[in-house]
Amino acid sequence: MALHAWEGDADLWRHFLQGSREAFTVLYASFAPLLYNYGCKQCADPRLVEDCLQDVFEYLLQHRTHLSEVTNVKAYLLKAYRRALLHKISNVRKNIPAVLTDESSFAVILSPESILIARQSELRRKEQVKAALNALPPRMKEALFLRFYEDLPFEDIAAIMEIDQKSVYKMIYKAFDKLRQKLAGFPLWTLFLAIWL
Amino acid sequence: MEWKDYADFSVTDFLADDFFTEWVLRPNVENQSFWEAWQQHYPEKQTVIAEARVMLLSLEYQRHQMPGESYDRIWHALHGKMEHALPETMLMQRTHYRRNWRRAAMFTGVCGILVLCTLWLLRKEDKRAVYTSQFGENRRLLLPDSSVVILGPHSALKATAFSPETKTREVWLDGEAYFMIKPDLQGNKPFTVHTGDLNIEVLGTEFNVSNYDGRPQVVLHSGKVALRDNTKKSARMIMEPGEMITYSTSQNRYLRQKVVTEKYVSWVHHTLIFENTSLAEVAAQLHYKYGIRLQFADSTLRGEQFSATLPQADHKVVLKAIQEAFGVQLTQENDSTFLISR
Repeated sequence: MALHAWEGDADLWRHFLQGSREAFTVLYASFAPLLYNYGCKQCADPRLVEDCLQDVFEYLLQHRTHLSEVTNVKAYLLKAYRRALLHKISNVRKNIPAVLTDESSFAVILSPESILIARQSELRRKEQVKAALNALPPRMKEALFLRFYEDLPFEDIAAIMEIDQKSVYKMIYKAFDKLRQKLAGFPLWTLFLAIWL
Repeated sequence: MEWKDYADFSVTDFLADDFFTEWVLRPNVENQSFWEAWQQHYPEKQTVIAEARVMLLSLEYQRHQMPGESYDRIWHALHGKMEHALPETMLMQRTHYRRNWRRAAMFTGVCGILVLCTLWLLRKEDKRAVYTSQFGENRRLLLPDSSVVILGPHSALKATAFSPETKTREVWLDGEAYFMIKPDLQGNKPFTVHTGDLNIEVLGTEFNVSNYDGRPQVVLHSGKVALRDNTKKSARMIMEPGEMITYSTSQNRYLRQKVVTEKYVSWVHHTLIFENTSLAEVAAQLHYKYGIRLQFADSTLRGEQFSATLPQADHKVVLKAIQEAFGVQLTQENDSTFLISR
């Protein structure tokens, strides 16, 4: 038995499709933590987040021979996972409030370093930006998260959220427009000093 | 994209643009030079650009760490199913060749010649497989026992064949790596990581080893490991989860401390965390991991303390954050050297 190494996600996926146990092991190790993080932003119940994670990887094992090659493995898995999670949530919704409220789903935080580097006056403005961002509808925040944290192209975000690409564009435009309206009269150019210095 | 196409862009147009986003969140030499030149050409657009940047940089998210027990529990369930669902590639090939005996005979002949050639070539050479990573690159490796290794930037890992006859599983590390070691249930195949003078004996576990420039550092995330120094500078050290052991050259001994392990393994997800790290230390890390030299015009800068959490980080992101945090000037001297001055 030899050592294994893969050139990238698409290569890893191809080897999994061919039945490689090694490739499947590395797929799990690489993407389980990423999907877990995404699930926690969507759903407040860690048990559901974990159950769906297991379901998605079991599905891959069972349906391997019917799956096709994919170019963006991350986007493919996020889509499968999101679908499984929303399905499960809709099944249990009557009993448990599993969906996160508007404020906490895909919430934006102020990272420790932005608190450290900011002067007191800037910090207050940053808090305002954060509050305005977190007040946006969850779907908008989800699109922002996929775009700017997971670094996915519009095309893949559309596939994950099961909407067309135009709607993703619109959503991201709207999110930033709303943000600007909320912050109207707020001298954003002063923040530019903090970032430009 | 042509220059003039961006001239009529609004703040939101910029925010939806791939190239602009890439520059703000993941700056590199190419996009940096484009956007600097562009802004000089369109100075009146600087406020628009600045506003778009502020919005993008406000998008910071918390990472929910998957608990080790959940990771293991799900993997255990999947592993059982995998045995049925995935065939062994080696077996498939054998039946295939049995059907085509002509090809099989030829194949055996060719193999025989190849084996002889290889044996001749390898007469005196190191038979360990070597995996290396480039500057700024993380690589995922799967060892024959199903242990997973994430190899950090500019690092090398050598491994023995792990064949059934050998009693041990051994690897040699230069640089940095995160190990997820498959537990040894029978207790007769210990796993050992060698790095510099240090041997790390593993008992089924997750941990990070960093040894750039002969400064070993081991951080234990879960499980148990034992450290032994070849040169007998120290007795055998047993580590508990959440502990870090480093070697201090000035005191000529190993130091043990409690740490938040996530900070030391965040690089696996391309996130760099600095906490009251001196700029001299940041410069050393940039050198080992990205091949970048950072020179200080003013030596008092070297001692400045830097704190930052930088997702999707490369050396450009780190440099930009330093610039913002200390309000310093950064000049690129050549491809890999930057001068930092007040």
